[in-house]
Amino acid sequence: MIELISVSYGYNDSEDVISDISLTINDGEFLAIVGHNGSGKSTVAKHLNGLLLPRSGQVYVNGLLTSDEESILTIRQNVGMVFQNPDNQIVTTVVEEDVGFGPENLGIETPKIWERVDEALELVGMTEFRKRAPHMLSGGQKQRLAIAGVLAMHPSIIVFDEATAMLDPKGREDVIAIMKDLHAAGKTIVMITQHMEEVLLSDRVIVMNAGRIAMDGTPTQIFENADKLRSMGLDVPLPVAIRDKLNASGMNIPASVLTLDSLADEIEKRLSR
Amino acid sequence: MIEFLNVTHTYMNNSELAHNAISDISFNVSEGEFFCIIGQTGSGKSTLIQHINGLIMPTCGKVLVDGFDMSQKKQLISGRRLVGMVFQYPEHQLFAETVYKDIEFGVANLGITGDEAHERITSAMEAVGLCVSEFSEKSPFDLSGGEKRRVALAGIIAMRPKYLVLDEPMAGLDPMGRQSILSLLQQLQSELGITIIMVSHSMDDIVHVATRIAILSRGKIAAIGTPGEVFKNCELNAMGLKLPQSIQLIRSLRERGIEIENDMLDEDAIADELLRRYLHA
Repeated sequence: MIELISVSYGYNDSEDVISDISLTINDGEFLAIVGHNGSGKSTVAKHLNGLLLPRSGQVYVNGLLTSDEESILTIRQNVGMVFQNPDNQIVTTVVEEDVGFGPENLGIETPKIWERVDEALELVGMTEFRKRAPHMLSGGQKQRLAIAGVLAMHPSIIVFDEATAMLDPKGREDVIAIMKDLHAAGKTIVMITQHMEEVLLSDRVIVMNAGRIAMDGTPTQIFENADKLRSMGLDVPLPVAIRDKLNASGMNIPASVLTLDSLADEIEKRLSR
Repeated sequence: MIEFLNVTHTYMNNSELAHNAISDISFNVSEGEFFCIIGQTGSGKSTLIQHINGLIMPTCGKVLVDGFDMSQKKQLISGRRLVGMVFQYPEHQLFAETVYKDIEFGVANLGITGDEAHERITSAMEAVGLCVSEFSEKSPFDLSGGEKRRVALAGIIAMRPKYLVLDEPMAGLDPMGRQSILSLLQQLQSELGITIIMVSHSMDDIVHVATRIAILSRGKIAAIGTPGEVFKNCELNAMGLKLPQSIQLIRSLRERGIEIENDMLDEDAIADELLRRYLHA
């Protein structure tokens, strides 16, 4: 569990980038954090494993305080981070060594490291690439490698900070499939994203605006408020936009309809009366 | 007009590692078009657009820009002046102390100074929606991601290219930022008559703006035409691409026995059509 208690942060002496953020992320949750560029969502993400420390307030990860130097290694092992640019997250010249880099730094004995490497590569579907050079991989493959490196640390919580933003549709789909698998396997997932379709994967959404939490709810609840989202520089997925338009003329499609398939089902029911 | 005549580009030619990034590509882009190029990573999109201003040369074939052969040194210089290139994440290339000086750089390189330079810089800022008095003296590094990208675009627009070539200009922006860059490009096309050639992954973004789309797959053009034509006939999934969501909905409705015109790409038009049927059912 991660708890943020009245967290504020600003770079140097400048104004707060995030102000008075209180948020509890429960074990096993799939949380999406959205917001326009500059809303503070990445700043929140960087507090989750102590990459940034609050100017005021506290962050606890499984009961450990991130500002406590003694705890920081345990916290970082527990909370893995995957960033936007896969090229910045690769350190070695062979795929399998890159995955083993983290556990090696934890001081784990060699046979156990290889076990972890095998397992992590398998989880992201990269076993066949284990002897390759990372720079010869595609963007999506590099990002899967970065995820494997995080998984080899055996974290309980994984934060994806716009991890699909630089990928093509296929690469994005692969990374999303991995997020789903990890969540199903019991990991806590925190996903920072600009893509409203990806929000539908989550069971809870935080909307950030001007450094504060503006909305907190299920995707259904959040997308009931298209106008409010648009006023904050965001949008709704296309099925929701069409649903709202149809409902404005009395088609009465339930708010739980968020996907193309469920929308098509509801339209079918209403047109074939 | 931009013409690709049987263009092949081979990387590491004459070696064992030689491979064709694009092979035997022919197409034209006419003046005033909003031409979009889509394709998976590795399909050859970036290789293709780098030919348009002669950053790389065809291994075989020819690229002509308003008739200038971009493989001929003297013609290349004339052709290049017509083409503005905006690479991915162009804001990474900002360098000057102020927004004004950053935009001035390209103009000065054309040998333009004084009043004309000033006029070009301020009108480029206005074109991208950056208030001249507010932004001129700001450091580009103090701006938000969307604003930085506008500065980078203004730097190219101030050079008054006839053809503007952009590689994923909306990548990494929030929905509003994406929308505003897209409207800006549409405005440049319709009001200033600049021909736009844009590479994008996002079908949903380009479906509304493109006059024509070319789909690139393994270095070849797999389909070319208006969005309606291309999405009707092309098996995009097999190429690692996704149909625009509006088309996915139309197909999904068709499976349920509800037929809607396939060239209805706009979500509002689809909603209106569905409502019309609902109210008359």
